Amino acid sequence: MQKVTFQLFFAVWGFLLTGLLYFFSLPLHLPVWIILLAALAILIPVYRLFASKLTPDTTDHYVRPNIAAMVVLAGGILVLTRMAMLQPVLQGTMDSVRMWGYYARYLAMSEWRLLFADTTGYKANHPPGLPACTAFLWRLFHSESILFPMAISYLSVLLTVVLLYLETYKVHFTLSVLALIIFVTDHAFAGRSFAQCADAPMGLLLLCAVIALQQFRNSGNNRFITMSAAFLGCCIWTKNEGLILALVYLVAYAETFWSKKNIRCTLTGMAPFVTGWAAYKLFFAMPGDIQQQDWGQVLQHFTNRHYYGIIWLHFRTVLHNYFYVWQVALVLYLVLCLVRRQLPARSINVLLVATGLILALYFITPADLEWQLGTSLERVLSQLMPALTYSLIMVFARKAQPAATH
Amino acid sequence: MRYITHILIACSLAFVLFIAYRRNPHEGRWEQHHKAMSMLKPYLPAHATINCQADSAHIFDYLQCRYWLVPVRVFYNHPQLDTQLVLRFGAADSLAPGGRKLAEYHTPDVHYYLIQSIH
Repeated sequence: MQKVTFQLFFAVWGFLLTGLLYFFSLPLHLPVWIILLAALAILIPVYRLFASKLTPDTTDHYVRPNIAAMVVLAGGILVLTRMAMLQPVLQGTMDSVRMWGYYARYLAMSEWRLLFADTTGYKANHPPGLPACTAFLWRLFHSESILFPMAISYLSVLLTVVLLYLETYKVHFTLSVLALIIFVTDHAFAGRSFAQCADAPMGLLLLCAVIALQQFRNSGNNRFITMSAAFLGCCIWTKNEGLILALVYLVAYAETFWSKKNIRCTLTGMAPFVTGWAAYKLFFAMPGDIQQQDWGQVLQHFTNRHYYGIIWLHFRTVLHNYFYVWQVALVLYLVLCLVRRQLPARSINVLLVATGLILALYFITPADLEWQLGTSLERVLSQLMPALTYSLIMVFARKAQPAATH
Repeated sequence: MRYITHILIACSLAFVLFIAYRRNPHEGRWEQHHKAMSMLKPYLPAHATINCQADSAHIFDYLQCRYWLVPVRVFYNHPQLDTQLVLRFGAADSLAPGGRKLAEYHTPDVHYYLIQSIH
């Protein structure tokens, strides 16, 4: 792993960890500067512990930078910057206003407990990964400036592109550049720069988990397992569907994560965020709409052909309208597998299973199905695209494991 | 290499935030929202719960607000509402047909219309 990639990984993880510390400092009424000091006290030794073991030592000799790769990256960032500025909605979407923004606002207030009181009708059930980070910055700088959630949102999108490129251009330069062009010229992707929802951070976190897992498979260094597990934990701490994504990876790569040699690393990586998530769900979160509905009736949805038709129609439409290139690349890969009589790579299968499980969630939604699909399916699927792109580049470049039976 | 990457990221972020700040230099989102609510408050019944419909370019959604709380709380609601008052975000021509406009207030980003519900 390049040092720059590791530093960006660590910055993302460290920021989420600071948000976690902030959230659990709320009942203790701790001043925010204590949280900052506590976070630094944890992060600095952890950085020193990991940096020397995970990145090649470049202190002894001068490493010549790859000029062509840097020029392409600079061009990509420039285009993304321009695309982001062209977005009509810089203030965040309505979803960010009604959910993540207000959630963060409450977490920044001394009356934060109101958020979890059953008096408003609002079901504070979403994990507080993103709003806790926003609230921490607001408290730290004594300002509720919208620039902070804007910066988090934009950095999530920007880092996704940068990390994807940095981790693939040495594997297959052409595919890497192609992926960079596709992402930075995609209006929907650039639109997430200022959406201020948790979808862009989720996409970034899942990408980090997948990259770290691949690094382990390349190097055998089990500290990458700790890193991958930590990012899967971050997914759980950030969004409810993060739990599904994390479980799918933990099961699909069970022999990696839960082997005798690696289980300690897995548990160490996941512990802070999974413990935080469990405590949040037990002591803070209100029961969600899904938990409170009539399950007898819900189960009937699975036998209702009408549900399958609506979900399939929306799924096809969203793929065609927002993820056409990914759809074509995936179909191409599956056809190639069929021609070669190979099973698709596990890294792709995992994402296909995750997509299936996410679609299955719509069978149990208590809200109007068409409304729910119309307002969320594109956003949820967008979380998988960076990881899918990375996995596709790896399998096309024949660097990942060739088959599921491997 | 890593320094170049860090510099590129920092420059991109700084530039985008600067442009965003320039576009809306005077009032933040919360301030705009509070101002709109305070302007519309005289038209609302005391201690009433109002339901808000949101209509933006990409999202058609339903919200519920309790305007007398500071900060204003916004939370989910089911599409089928039975309400007396509807506060709508969006363009004027997107007002529900049949709804009677009681008051309106415009901010640079959001148009607030207080209309009598068609229920």
